[in-house]
Amino acid sequence: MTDQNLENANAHDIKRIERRTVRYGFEDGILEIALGVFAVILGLFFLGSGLAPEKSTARFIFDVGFLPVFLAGYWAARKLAQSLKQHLTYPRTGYLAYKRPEKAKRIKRALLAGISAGLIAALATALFTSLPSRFDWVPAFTGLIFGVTLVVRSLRTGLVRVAIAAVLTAAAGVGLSLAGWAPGLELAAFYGAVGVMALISGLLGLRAYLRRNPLPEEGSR
Amino acid sequence: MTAAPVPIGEIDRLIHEPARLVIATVLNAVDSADFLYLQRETGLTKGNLSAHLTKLQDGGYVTIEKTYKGRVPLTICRLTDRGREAFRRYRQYWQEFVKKTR
Repeated sequence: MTDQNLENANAHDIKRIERRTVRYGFEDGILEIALGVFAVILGLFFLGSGLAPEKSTARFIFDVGFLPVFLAGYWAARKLAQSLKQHLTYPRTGYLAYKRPEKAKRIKRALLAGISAGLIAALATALFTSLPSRFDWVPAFTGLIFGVTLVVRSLRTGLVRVAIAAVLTAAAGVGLSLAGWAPGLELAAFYGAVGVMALISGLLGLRAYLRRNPLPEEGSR
Repeated sequence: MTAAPVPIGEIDRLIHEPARLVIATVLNAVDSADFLYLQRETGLTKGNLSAHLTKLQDGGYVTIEKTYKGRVPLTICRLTDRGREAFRRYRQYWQEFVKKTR
C-alpha cells in the first residue's frame, strides 16, 4: 500500500464511520414517520382553516390557533419518535446521542435562521408579485424549500429515499400551485401529500430496518 | 533533501490500536453512544469491547455510565474532553506523519 493510499485509507475510514453515525439517526425511518405525522396534523389544520367560512368564529379560532397547533404537533411528533426509538431501535442496534451545539453557536444559528427567514420571505414576496397572479405560489415555494432541505439531508446521510422524497415534495408543491385550487386548500393538500409520502417512506424504511435487525439475545446490552 | 525523521514514539498508542480508533472515531462524532452500538460498529465481542473501553477509561479518554432510556437499560460511553483532544492530536499527527514520509 502506498503512503497516499495509507493516508486515504485512514482518512476515508474515519470519514466513513463519521458519516455512518450521522446516517444512523435516519436508517430506521422513524424520523420520517414523525415528520409525516407532523405534516398530516398541519394538513388537517389547513383543511379546517380553508373550509371555515370567512369571518366566522371557526375561522377566527383557526387564525389564532396556528401557533399552538404547530407547537403541539411538533411536540407530539417528537414524543412519538422518542418512544418508537426507545422500543424499536435502541434494543436492536443501540443508542446514539448527537452533539448539541454550544450555547453561543445555538444563538448564532438562531440569529442566522431568523435573518435567512426574513430574506426568504422578502424574496418570496418579490417573486410572487412578478409571477402570474392567478396561481397561489405558496405551495410551490414551500415545496422547493422542503426539497432543498431534503436534498442537503440526503447528501449528508447518503440515503436515496430522502433524495426521492425531495424531488416528490418539490413536484407536489409546484403541481398544487398550478392546480389553481381555492387558497388554503392547496396548503392542506401539500402538507397532506408530504405527510402521506413521509409516512409511507418511513414505514417502508422501518420495515426494512426491522427485517435487517432482529432483536439481539437477552443480556447482550 | 531528506525530510526530518518522524518521531514515531509520539503516537498515542491508546488510540492508534484499530478497535480503539473506531471507538474513538464514533464517540468523537457524537455526544455519546451505548455499548450495543459500539459493539455493532467495531464487530468486537462483548469481552473484547469491554477490555478496550476499560483501557480508554483508565487512560481518562472515556466515561462509562449505566442508565435507562425508558425501560431500556443502556451502558452509555462518552469521550471526555481529554479524549477528544487526544483524538484531534492523533488525526493531526497521522496527517503530518504521512506528509513527512511521502
